[in-house]
Amino acid sequence: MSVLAAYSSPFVLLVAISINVILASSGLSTTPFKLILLSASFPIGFGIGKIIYMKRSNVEITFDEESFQVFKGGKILLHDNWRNYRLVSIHLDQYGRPDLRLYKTPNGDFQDLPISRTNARPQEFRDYVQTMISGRRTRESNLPVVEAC
Amino acid sequence: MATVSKTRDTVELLERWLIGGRARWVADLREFFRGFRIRETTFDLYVRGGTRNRGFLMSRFFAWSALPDYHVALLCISSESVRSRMTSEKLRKAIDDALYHVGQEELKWAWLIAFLDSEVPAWGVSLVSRYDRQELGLSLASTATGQVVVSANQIGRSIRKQLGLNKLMERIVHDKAN
Repeated sequence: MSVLAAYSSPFVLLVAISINVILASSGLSTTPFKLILLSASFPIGFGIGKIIYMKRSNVEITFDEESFQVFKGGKILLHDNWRNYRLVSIHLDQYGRPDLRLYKTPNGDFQDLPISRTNARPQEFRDYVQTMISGRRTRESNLPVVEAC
Repeated sequence: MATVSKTRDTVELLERWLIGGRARWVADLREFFRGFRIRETTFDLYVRGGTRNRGFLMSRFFAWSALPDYHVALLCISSESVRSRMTSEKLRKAIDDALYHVGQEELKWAWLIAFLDSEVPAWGVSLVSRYDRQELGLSLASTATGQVVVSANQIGRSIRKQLGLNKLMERIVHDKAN
């Protein structure tokens, strides 16, 4: 939500300025409906911000018992199988946000899953991934999705 | 519905506290593993980090210029993860494996916390309170009574103060009573 607000706030401001300019050039700057017309800048600005956020920064992780895919802005960023990894941990980034770190070998190559940018709970998701890696989980047919909140 | 044991709950709660930055005044714990095996002991929780926190701009500069860059760790074991119940031999084995890991990973120091689902036995109080190796802080905590015993060294005392293990156990016992 804070990311969405960060994307949207400049557009809210720009739309408000535009509406104000239009009202002033039309000679309607003293109309009692000015505030109502200006309030339209919020939905319009948030709408534009959301479109740009979804196209550029929205992170989505899809997974099943065999593999996982990471999408960013609708483009596939990573596609791999759980079985290629041997160890999983919760790793805090420099801002203290918890992501998952998948290790191919202990203390070796790793891959980060940016779950802090989704609505997944880190501990539960880590436990789930741990069972996937160790191959103890029973098969499920559905394809769950975690998506940015 | 699946049931989760009390000691596992406690480990999860401790992990959540640490992820939230509970230990930040003494260490920047960055990575959290569950079911981490060191030689013959499987630790329920293994956390690693350093004494130099990362932060952003000013705090990062302060950490870089003023704080030592030591690698540290926290290991946690519950009585349910060892077969049957925790004994003096099993705890000593866990201590040996923790010390082995401290040497292997060149850690400056480590915390080892053992959660028991019964009262802390007399051998446990004796063993832990007399433990004085500087590189390992030791603690035994009872999820049944909330009792916490820590080793006499500085790292051991920090388990009470900086990690807030007493508060965690109070909460566990309070939740259990309600």
